This record gives sequence, structure tokens and C-alpha cells, in this order.
Amino acid sequence: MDFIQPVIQVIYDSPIPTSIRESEWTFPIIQTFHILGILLFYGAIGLVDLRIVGVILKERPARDVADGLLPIAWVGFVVMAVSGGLLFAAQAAKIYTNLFLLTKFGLILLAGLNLVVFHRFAGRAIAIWGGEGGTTPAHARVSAGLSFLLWTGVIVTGRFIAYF
Amino acid sequence: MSLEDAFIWLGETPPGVFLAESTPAFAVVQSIHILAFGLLGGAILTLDLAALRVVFRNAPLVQTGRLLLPVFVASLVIAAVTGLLLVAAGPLKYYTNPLFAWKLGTLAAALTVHLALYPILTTKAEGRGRAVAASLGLISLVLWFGVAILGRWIGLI
Repeated sequence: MDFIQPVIQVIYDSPIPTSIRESEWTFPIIQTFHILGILLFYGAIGLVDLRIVGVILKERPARDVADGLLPIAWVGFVVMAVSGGLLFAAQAAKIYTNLFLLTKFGLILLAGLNLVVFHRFAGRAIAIWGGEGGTTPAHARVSAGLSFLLWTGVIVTGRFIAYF
Repeated sequence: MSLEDAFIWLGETPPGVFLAESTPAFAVVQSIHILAFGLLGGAILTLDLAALRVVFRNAPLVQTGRLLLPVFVASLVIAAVTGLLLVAAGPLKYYTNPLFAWKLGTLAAALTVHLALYPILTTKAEGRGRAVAASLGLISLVLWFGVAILGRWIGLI
């Protein structure tokens, strides 16, 4: 993995990450956007996941819950990803070997794979099984449960980066 | 007993002492606080946006409120308990932090405005009632973002 260190160093030394790191206010302001993005994303995707699993909002069709809340989740995701990318770049050389950061990246990858699998097998048919009186297929419930756990893990490991 | 004494007492309770000594335990409680806060925000935001007719436009508002209430209550309880534990881990840090009082005040306002929505929902929010519901939804939403921002900055100043 020798090629990673020079790449990380180039990112770390580039103008925007450097100015973020050297400014007194920019870093905490980006951190604030990061937490707002996380809250928006997790609040929305969490409710959708828990609905598909069958824990909450059971009287409302899963399709309607997904249609209403996924746009909010995407807004949160973009804010979270952009601010998170900047926070990482500003500290890249110092934290790229952090065990919690690496675990977090691994969990994000798994959450992404899970999303792709969900769309391939269950997501396209949500208009049918997620409609009025529809029954959620078992694989959709497993995928939604996994999504909830994985994103929970991403947030927890993310919080731990600050301490270790 | 003064307010300061109450904070100090909280720090001397067994959970307070334990969390002050264990960084991993503190980080776990903080993580649960953020997760519960996120779900609480999800429940609040969803009803606010429904009152603003942005989401769930075709569903009865009163049903949306009733379905979200268990999420609201459960996540509020978890966020409150974990919040109390975080304060117990370093009570004077919070007692002397001016943003902490602002966060609690904004939180109280946010919850009051949001809960004021509920009685309106039952009166078939139409006409003027609908405008009131939308206004409360918007104020609740703005206040909620304020609580989140203040929460982040407590740890920064």
C-alpha cells in the first residue's frame, strides 16, 4: 500500500485542504455542516429503513414513506459527503491510518453495496410490494435492516475518530 | 441546593464518575445521543414538512402525526437520557458554557412549537388552520436546526 501515502500527502498539501486546516473558523464551520448533513440523512434514511423492516409507520405504504423521505436523505447525503470529504482532506496525512476511519470507510462501502443490491432485487418492485396493503419481501426487510445497522456503524465509528 | 450544586451532584453519581474516567464509554454515549437526535430530527422534520405540504401531501396530516408520535417519544427519551449522562461526565464544563443554556432554551422552544402542532392536526387543518400548521412547522424546523448547531458548538468553544 506504498502508493497511498504520496497520494494522501498531495491531497493534504493542496490549497483548499491547507487553507481549511490553517483557518481558525473554516474547520468548525464545515464540521457543523457535516453534523447537519448526518442528522438530515440518518433521520430520513433511518425512518425509511425502519418502515421497510416493519417497526414504524406500518399503516403508511412503504412506497409512500420512501417517496416522501428519500429526497431529504439525498440532500443530507450530499451535504454530509461534501463536508466529510473536505474534513478528511484537511487532516488526511494525520488520520489516514486511523483504525476507526478505515472501519468507517469499510462500512460506507458495505452500505453502498447493500444499496446497489437492494435496488437490483427489491427496490425496483417497491411500487408493487410497497403499495397499499402490500407485503414486504423478506430480502427487502433484511436489506433495510442492514442499511440501518451499517449507517449507525458509520456514525459511531466516525465519532470515535475524534477520540482515538 | 443551587443549580451549580445540582450539576456537581450529577457529576458525583456513579454513571457520572464512570463516564468521566472512560473515553470509550463517553464516546459510545455521545454516539447514541447523536443517533437518537437524528431520528428525533427525522420524526420532527417529517411532520413539519407534512404540515408545510412538502411531503405526504395526499395523506391525512392527523394520521402522519399519530404514526410519527412513537418515534418522536422514543428518540426524545433516549436523547434526553444520554444527554443527561454526557452532562454528568463533565457537569461544570456545561454549567459554565454559555451555549449550553442557549441549546436547552432553543430545545424547549423547538419542542413547544412542534408539540403545538399536534392539537391543530385534529381540526382538519384547512383554510386558516392550514396556514397556522404550516407556520408552526416552519418555525419548528428552523429551531430544530438551531438546536443541532448549538449542540455542535458547545464542544467547540
